[in-house]
Formats: sequence, structure tokens, C-alpha cells
Amino acid sequence: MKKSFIYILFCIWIFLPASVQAQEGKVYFQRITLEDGLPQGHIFKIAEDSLGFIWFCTGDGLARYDGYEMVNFQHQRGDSSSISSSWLHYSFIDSKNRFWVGSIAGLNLFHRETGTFSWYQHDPDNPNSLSDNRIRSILEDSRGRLWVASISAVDLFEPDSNRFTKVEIENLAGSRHSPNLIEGRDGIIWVCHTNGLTRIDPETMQGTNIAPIPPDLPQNVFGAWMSPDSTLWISSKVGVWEQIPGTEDFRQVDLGPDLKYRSFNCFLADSNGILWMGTLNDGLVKYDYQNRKVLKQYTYSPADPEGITNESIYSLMKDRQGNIWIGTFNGVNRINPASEKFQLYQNAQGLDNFSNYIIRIYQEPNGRVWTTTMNGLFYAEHLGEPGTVATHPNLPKDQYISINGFSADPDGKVWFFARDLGLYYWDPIQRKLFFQEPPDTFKGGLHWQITQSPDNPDILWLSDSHGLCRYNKITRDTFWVHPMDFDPRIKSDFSTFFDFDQFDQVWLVINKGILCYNLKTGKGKVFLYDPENPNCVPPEALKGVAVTRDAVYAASSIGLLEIQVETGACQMYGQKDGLVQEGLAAIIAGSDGKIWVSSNSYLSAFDPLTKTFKSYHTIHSIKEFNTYSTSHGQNNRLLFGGTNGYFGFLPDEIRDDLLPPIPVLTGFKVLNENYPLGKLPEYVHEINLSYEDKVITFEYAGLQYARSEANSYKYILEGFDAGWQEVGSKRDVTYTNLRPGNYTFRLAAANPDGVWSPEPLSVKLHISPPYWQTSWFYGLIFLLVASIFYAIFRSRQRARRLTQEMKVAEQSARYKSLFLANMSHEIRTPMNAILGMSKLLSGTPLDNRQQEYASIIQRSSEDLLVIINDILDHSKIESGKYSFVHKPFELSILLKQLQKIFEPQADEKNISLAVHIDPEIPSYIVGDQVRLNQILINLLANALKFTERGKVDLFVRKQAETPYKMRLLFEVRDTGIGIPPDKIEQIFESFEQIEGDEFFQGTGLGLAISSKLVEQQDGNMWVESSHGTGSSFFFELTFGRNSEKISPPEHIRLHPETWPPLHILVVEDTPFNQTLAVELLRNKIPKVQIAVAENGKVALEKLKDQLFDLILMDVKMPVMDGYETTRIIRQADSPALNSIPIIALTANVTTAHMQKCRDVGMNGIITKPIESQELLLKIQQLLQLEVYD
Amino acid sequence: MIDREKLKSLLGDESMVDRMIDIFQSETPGQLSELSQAIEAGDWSNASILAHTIKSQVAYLGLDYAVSLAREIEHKADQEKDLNSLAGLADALDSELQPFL
Repeated sequence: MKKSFIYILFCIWIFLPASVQAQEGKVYFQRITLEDGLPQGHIFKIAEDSLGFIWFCTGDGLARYDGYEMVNFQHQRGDSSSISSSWLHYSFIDSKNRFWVGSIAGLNLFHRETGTFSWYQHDPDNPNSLSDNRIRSILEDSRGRLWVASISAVDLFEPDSNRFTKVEIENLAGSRHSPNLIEGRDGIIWVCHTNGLTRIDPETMQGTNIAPIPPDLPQNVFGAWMSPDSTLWISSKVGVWEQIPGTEDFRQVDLGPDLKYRSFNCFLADSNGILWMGTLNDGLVKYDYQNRKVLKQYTYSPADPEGITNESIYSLMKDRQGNIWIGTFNGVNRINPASEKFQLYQNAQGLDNFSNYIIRIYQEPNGRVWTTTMNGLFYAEHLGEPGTVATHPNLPKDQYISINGFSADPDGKVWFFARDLGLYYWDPIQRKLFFQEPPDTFKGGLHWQITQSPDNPDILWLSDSHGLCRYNKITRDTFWVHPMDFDPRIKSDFSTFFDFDQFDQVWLVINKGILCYNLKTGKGKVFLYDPENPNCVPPEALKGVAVTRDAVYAASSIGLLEIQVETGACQMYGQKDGLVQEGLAAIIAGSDGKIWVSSNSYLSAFDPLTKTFKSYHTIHSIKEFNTYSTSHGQNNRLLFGGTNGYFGFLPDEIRDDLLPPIPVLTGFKVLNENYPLGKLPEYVHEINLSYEDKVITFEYAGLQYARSEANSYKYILEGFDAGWQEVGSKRDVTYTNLRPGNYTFRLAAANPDGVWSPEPLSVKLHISPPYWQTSWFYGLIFLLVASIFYAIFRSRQRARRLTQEMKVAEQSARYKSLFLANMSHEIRTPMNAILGMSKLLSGTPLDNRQQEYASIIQRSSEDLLVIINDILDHSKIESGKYSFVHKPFELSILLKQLQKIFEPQADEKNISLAVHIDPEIPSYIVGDQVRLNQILINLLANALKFTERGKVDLFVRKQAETPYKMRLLFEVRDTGIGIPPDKIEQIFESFEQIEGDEFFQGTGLGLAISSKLVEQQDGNMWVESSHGTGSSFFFELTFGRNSEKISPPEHIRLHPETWPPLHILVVEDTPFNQTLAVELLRNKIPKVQIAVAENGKVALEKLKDQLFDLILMDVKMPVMDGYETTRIIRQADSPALNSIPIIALTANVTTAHMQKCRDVGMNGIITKPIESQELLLKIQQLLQLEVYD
Repeated sequence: MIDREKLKSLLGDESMVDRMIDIFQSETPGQLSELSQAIEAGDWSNASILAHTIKSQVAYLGLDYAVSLAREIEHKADQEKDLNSLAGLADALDSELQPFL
């Protein structure tokens, strides 16, 4: 009786509701950057259109995002249907669904369906035109009127009458960043600008500057926000101010003491009284505007790949799916904290931090979290707070301590066993760790779980390598359960996890099995590995047990084991039941009645009623779960530890995301080319094609931005497909040879939780029957056939003549190529006629289909011309008329690109493709990059073609070298069919295709051209092959060494104080850059004498009568630029002058610029802003002042 | 805000930083108005040189947004593309730099 009373008390204590404190986990900032297709990094404004696409206004165009890809709209010179400028500050979709885009060159109305723009620009002769082209902000007021703010004016705009009416505002001109427009109470329009604040009366259209600005508010208004109760908030340089209701005065908003920067660019109200505030230069702030409290600040940290990408926030937008989009100085971030099912918590910030490698985890009923990490033992007072290291004189610091389990007792003490270091407890009153000398029987054991007895506050249950122990922490008495006592097959007492059931039994994981021990009777029942019964205990260590009312569950590497408590019946559940990954890491029973298990990267819930799993993936990019690492937490929360923190969640609140993606068409292609639909694909509902359009492709997306890569799709082409085709995440489908007729393409999309869009997208497709009957078509066919006959006739004539001559002459190869050249030439003439005619034809009035035919003729002719040109190329090489360039290029990049080109092909055939480059070869070499590429492409394509299994390797080795040249040996080695010995001789000969010989089929000119290209560059090519085991193609070529020295090894140290006196000429055009360079050199180099020239001409003058050790040369200067100057210096007669080292100073970092610098003979390049270390290293290296450590 | 740290690390002391800022403040207004004139006159190569100069100068002062504007002007003037925006960008650059001049 007494016992059960204590038990009930204990239960009440365990489940006492605790106050909810900092529990929000790490927010995942999804990044959308230039790599994802953004045209430029500055995101001035973000909008969502009526279809659900997201639009970004950038410094180089308007970008449309569908969750996967970007479509960019940029200004095209001379095209007045393109946007009026690519520098865009604002976009706005009004209540009539008109899409306005404000650029720096006028206002644009974006015709969304066709993707075209109409411009509204300032016209000095028209008083009703836009006042200023530099648009900053657009507002639709509550009366449906449009207001347009530019840098110097605010206009009221009536689109229907195309009329702009200017509102006079005194001090607006010269304002920067803003102005912002915002509507307040009584329809008043507020203009917030960096010169202050102006109110516009909606009736009189009068602009009044607000005088009584509080004295401590600098006249600099950045962002503005209208609160739900219509109070105007504005941000100055030093804080946020709100208008006092009924007055024009402002009072400061309390932002607390912690924020360092207090100027805000933009605001966004979210649900639950949350205001997101984007700072000018310190990240994003989450503010509770009802309780006036800063909740969190998210700042940029280079070490955090899941954090915000930049500290300057330009724009904020919340879409209909609840995503918050953050436009920064450098890319877009997307967050959706509310939708994240699993919260990630960390002991410390950042990636790859051993403090976040959670080996074991435990949460006390009062909320304190204990974690064993690779960096030692941590505790955090609440979820979401950073961890603190728990210390004790006996415990080592900053390293892993083997602690496998924790348990809190009714006094709030937390007990744990540290391996070889003894038993410890945390005293919550004194807030420190205490050591308790354990009984001798514990010595040498590997301790696992520790659990407070549910019915006796003095008792702890512990498992270790000696079995299961009942330990009285007051009397220090022990009672041991040894598994080996229960069955002779058990070879060890080693025990790990255990859990109690309702029948006073403890279920204990032992070596290769489970022991069910009855605490009352002392009897035990064992479940051991039995090859006869593969559905029961597997032959390996179990990863934990979880006991429910009816069954016991254990995690294993092949799935989840279920044992019925009453009958002992076993069953194993795995992939066939919906488990994504069978290798389980940890197991725990949830308050939702489900068994939760972690595997490598998934969390899965097993439903004991339906016997199925549901698996979940988190949005966080680092999500490997650690073995055994799980715990029950406060308020029925479950915790799972991983390699980068721990996840916490309330199983009862795990719901599917019910918001399905919106299916949209994003592209339509015929023969793999975009088909002119007359509108953007997302607006197309009907497509008309002809019989000739044989290969058609639909491209599509589901608009849903939280993990769009996990969306899945299904489609049906009614009239062709028998049923819906489920295709996973694939986003295109191609149909070939559809018969003429009517079809409907339907598409549905599902979100990562498998919720499908209720309304599929539907596109009608009409394919018309063949169209042969026009006379122009016949005529054209006749012309084509006649031209080809003519060409063949002419070339046959010549061929006959040539063949005769060939017999006579001995230079058969030359004639062959002449023959080819002539033949190509002869074909080219009529081909050009066909091309010209089809172009002319396109210019005449034709219907769509005829137009399409004409363009096919045109395209085909162009393709044919390319082939003919190739043949001409070949004959040029044959006749030795080919020239090669010698330019520096990066060999490793060329090889990497080649690997990329061939990788898909190799993957498809399951062949490995590897490139091996001798590390001694410098990264830059001088030669003909294009030809080298061509040769290697031919050899690699050949190797891949004739290899069915095994591998293809490309080796590049250095054969010989001089200071200026080196000879490289390339080898392409395959494990293909090899070449029969009798054919090796012929392999490099062109047009040696032997009739009916499959081996040579299709090899064409590739090898012949390659070997000729090598020969003409004084190299040679040969092949070694053994029939059936593979071939190696070799070639040797000589390359120049790059005049620029190889970058210095890292161990070089700078010692400018040891340098001899230097005389340096600085060529810079402006006083700022001159002074900077001079003072920088003076500051860093002790013995230096400097002369300055403001342009190349002056520099040449100075070089006439002075001698310099080095020139620092700005590249872009008036009068004579750096390139020209260098060219002249290099061409000078005097060796002292033409060999003087020149370092280019340039603020442009493109490879083209760098290449140009090298081409004119500069010895080094330093990019501005100059880094002193880089400059000094370069000087040291060029003047050979190296000091090695 | 002008970032003085970068200049200080290059030049060694605060007074040199002050001197550089003085030069910047005395030179830049002229460069900005020359830039506007070049754009107005359609002299793209000169506009490109001036934007380039301003870009390299403001880069030392840590004025990132102004660097972007100047880079964009230079790029567009070089390529002679999107010329419609040049006058506006130059104005934007001007108003961006005004507070520091």
C-alpha cells in the first residue's frame, strides 16, 4: 500500500507540468545564392505572385523562383518589351493583380502572362509623366490609388489615364536608401526618407514635413512599419520610434540592452505578435512587439552553413505558405521556424564542434538537459540554451568521458556512472557534482543504463558488464542479477539497456538476446538468437529496449523487433513495413503510443496498431543520429542525439504538413528546344502541335518551398498513358511519336509528407494530322533534292578525275584531303543556297506551321554545314595549313572539365573514370588549350565507347623539362575490348573504315584528326593494346612554362627588413590611390624609395632617366592605360628596361582581365583593395628576396 | 560607416587614415560629377574609368554598397548594356556617398 502511494507521488512529480522556457531550436536559413541562378546578390525586394512563384528584385534583373530554378528577366538593349533597366529596387502586385516593378530607369508594368514589360519614364515635355525615373517604393492606398516614390519625388499614379501627379515635398531631394511609402490612419501617406519624415494629406495632396521630431531622433529615417493598431514605427540610425497616438510626436521603442546595432531597413509582422526586423548591418532580429522584448538576433557567422548569409537585410516577405523570405546584400534566405517538426539544439554554435557530438542524452523532469559529448559532459538549464561543462576534480576536461546513462532521483539529484572514474551525482541545491565511492562489485565494469527505481526512492538500478544491479544509494547494498545464471547458452553477463513492464518484470538487453527477469519471483525468461527463428532476436547487439503495455520492442541493425509480453511471440519489422533505413541507432516509446526509432538520417515512428512505420527527415543539413542516444524529456518530449546537436519534439504534435505544392508547367520543348507558346509556360493551358513534332517534353514544378527537393510528382497524358505515372522527384517527361489527336496532360505534386495537390494541373494538347499538300513545300523538296544531286554529280566528276590523278601521283593523302575539301566546298555552295532560301521563306507571310517547317529546314542546313566545316578542318590539317596558339592555361581545370563531360557517360555504363596528374606539373602551362581539349575528347570518347566494364584512366606525366619548356606524356588507358594486332597499324589512318568491319564502325575522323593535331605540334601519338584486355593511347606534347612563377610555398616568411634598398615606380591615376600605394610601401618596407606617375605616358618619361627595381602599375587609367604602357616597356630595346618586373594593380578580378595582364607581359597581379601581405609576397618573389624558414 | 581598420592595417597609424579620408573627401565630389557628365555625354569609356576609380577607393573604406553600385556602373559602361540605368546608378552612388563627404 505504502509502496504504491510513493509510486503515485513519484509519477505526479515526474509529470508535473513545468514552465515552458527557451525551447526554440536552431533556425535553419535556407540559402539561395548566385549558384542557384540568382543574377546578382543584392535582393532589394521580394514578392509572391498569384500563382505562388517568388520574385526577387536584384541589381541585375528580376528573378522568378519556383523552388528549384531561377528564370531571369533583364534589360535587353534595343528591346522595349524587356524591362527598362536591370537595377531594380521595388516590385509590387496591386489589388487588380497588376505587377509593377520599380527600376532605376523608370516604372515597369510587367505583363506576367507574356513575360514582357511596358515602361513609364520621365518625359520633360510631359508634365503628367513620372517625375523621377529612380523608383524606390510603390504603394497602393486603401482607396486603390497608386503612389510611386523615387529618389526626389512622390507621384500619385493613375494607370488608366497614364497620369502622374507630383506631390511637392521640400527636402526630399538628396535622400538616400529610402524613401519608403506607408499608409497610416485616415488614409495619410507617410514618406520616410533619410532627410526626415513627410506626411501627405490624401485629400489636399499636400506634403508636410514633420517638424516636432524628438530632439534625439537624428533626421535619418530608414525603415518604417505600420503596427496592427495603426501606429507608425520608424527606424533611425540609433533606434526605433513609435508615434504617440493622437499626436505627431514620437517616443522611443524599448529594444532592451543587448542589441548592438539599432538601425533597421525593413520590418515584417508575423503571427503571435512577432515582428521581424532586418538591420542595416547586423542580421535579423525577432521582436515581440506586444511585450516589447527582443526574442532573438540572428547574425552572420561564416562557420555556420545553416545561418543567415549576410548581415545587411534589405527586404522581408512572408508568403502564403508561411515562409519568411529574407533579401540580403548577398543572396536570399528562407526560414519557416513554425513548420519545423523537429527542433535542433546545440551546446555550442557552429559546425563540426565536438561539443555538439551527442553520444548520450538525458533530460531531467525539471528541464535540465545532460549530454555526453566528444568534448566532455555538458548540461543546459533548458532546451535551446547553450550547454555548460559540468566539472569535478576527478573528471578530465575537454575530452570524452564514458558516461552511458543518467537518472534523476526524487530529490532532484542526477546520478551517473563514469567509466573507471566512479559514481557521481549532481546536487541541484549546491549546483555541483559530488563523488560517491561505489561498492567493489562495480569495479572494472562497463556501465550502461542507470535508472531510479519506480517504487523506492533509495534504489537505483544499474546495468554493466557484470549484469543488472539493484543498488541502495543510502546503505550501499547491492543485489546482482547475472544473466549467465538463467541459460547455459549465455556466455557473458554483459548487460546494457533495460525497461520495466507493468507485471514487475524488467526486460534487459544481454549479449545476443534479451532477458525478462521477474522482480517478484526472481525467475527469468530468455530470448536468444536462434537460426531457426529469423524473425526473433538477431545475432548481434541490440541498440535498446522500449516497453509498452502489450509488447517489448528492441532496435537492431536489421529492423525493429517486437516481443509480445504475454505470449513471447516475436516479429521483426523493417523496410517492407515502411522503414526507410533498417539500421536503427536508438529506440524510445512515445506518449503518442508509437515507438520512435532513429537511424542514420531519419526518425521513424512505428505504430503498434497498424504495424507500419512513418519516417521523417529534418530540414537541417547535418542529421546523423548517434547510436543509443535518446531520452524522454520534459512534457513528454522525446530527444535524440546526433553528430551536430540533438533533436527534440513532442510526438503528440507531429502532424503531416497539409499544405500541398501548387503544380505548374515551367517549360515545354519540342525536340529538346523551347517551343514558342506565345506566353510563359505557367499560363499555358492549351498547346497545338503538328504531326512533325515528334519529341515533346513537359517540364514542371510544384510550388512548395520547404524542402522542395523532397516533393514528388505524378502525371498522366490522357489519351496515351493508361494511368497516373508516379515519378518521384523527377521534373520532366518526354513523349515521342504521339499520333495526331487530342490529349490532356495532368500533373499532381505532393509535399515531403506525401500530401497531394487536390487540383491537378491540366494542359490540353492537340496534334494535327500531317500536312503535305502545299506547292511551296513540294517546290522546296525539289530544290533540295536537285541541289544534292547536283552536288553529288559535281563531286563525282571531280572524284573520278582526282582518283585518276591519285593513281598517277604518289601523294595520295594530299589528294584525298583536296578531294574532301573540294567536295565539302561543292556541297557548301548549294547548302548555303538552301539556307538562304529558307531564310527568305521565313520572311514571307507564313502561318505558324509553315514557319515551323521553314525553321526546321534552316536548322538542319546549319547542322549539315557544321559537319562540312569539320571535314574542311580535317583537310586543312592534312595539308599542313593549320596554326596553333601558345597561351597559358590551367591544365587541371581543363582535365576537370573533361572529367565532368564524360562522367555521365561513364556512370551510365558503370565504368570508373579517373584523372591522374603528376603533382610536379605546374598549374599553368603554355600551349594550345583548344586543340589539347579536342585530342583528349577524341581519345576519351573512344575509350569509353569500347569499354563495357572496368575503368578508363587518364594519366598526365612530366617527361622532361628545361627552365622554359616541358614535355608531357598523356595516356588514356581503358579496360575495353582492345585492338586486334592486325589493325593497330591502321588505327590512325583517316577514312580507313573497312566495309562490314564492326570494329571500325563509326570511329570516323576522331583518331586521325587527333594524331595529326599531335604531329603538327611536334608531338607523337601511339597505341599499345592487347586484344581483349584493353588499350592505352599515348601522346607526347611540349608545353611552355608560364612566365609567371608558381605561387610561393606556404613556408616562405616575409622579412622586408632584410631586403636591400628598393626603388619602386608607382603608376596610379588618382591622389587617393597614389597616396595609398606610397604610404603602404613606406609602412611595410623599411628601405624604399618611391616615384609616382599618374599615367602610362608619365611613367614612360620617368623610365627614360631613372632606373627602377619594380613597377606597380594600375591597369585602368586615362591617357595611357597599364596594358599599353606594359606593352611599350616590353618592346623597349634596353634590356634593363624591357625586363623590369611589373605588378598589375587592378580592381577587376575576372579571368579575362588577368589573362590580358599576362598577355601584355605583366609579371604578377594584385587585386584591389590591396592586401599588404599579398603584395609583399609578390614583390619578394619577383625580386627573388625569398627567405626560407 | 567608414571602416577605418582596413586602412589602418595597411598604413600603420591613425593619422595616415585621417589623411586618406581627407583625400577621399576632397577628390570624390569631383569624380562623381565627372562621372555624371561622362554618362550624360555618352562617353562610356571615361565613365567606366571614373567608376573604376571610385570603386577602388571606396573599397578601402569598407563601403560595400557603394562598391556594388560603382562596379555595376563600370560593368554596364564597359559592356554598353542597360545604359538606361547608368544615370540613375550614378545618382544612387552620389547619394550613397554624400553622408561621407
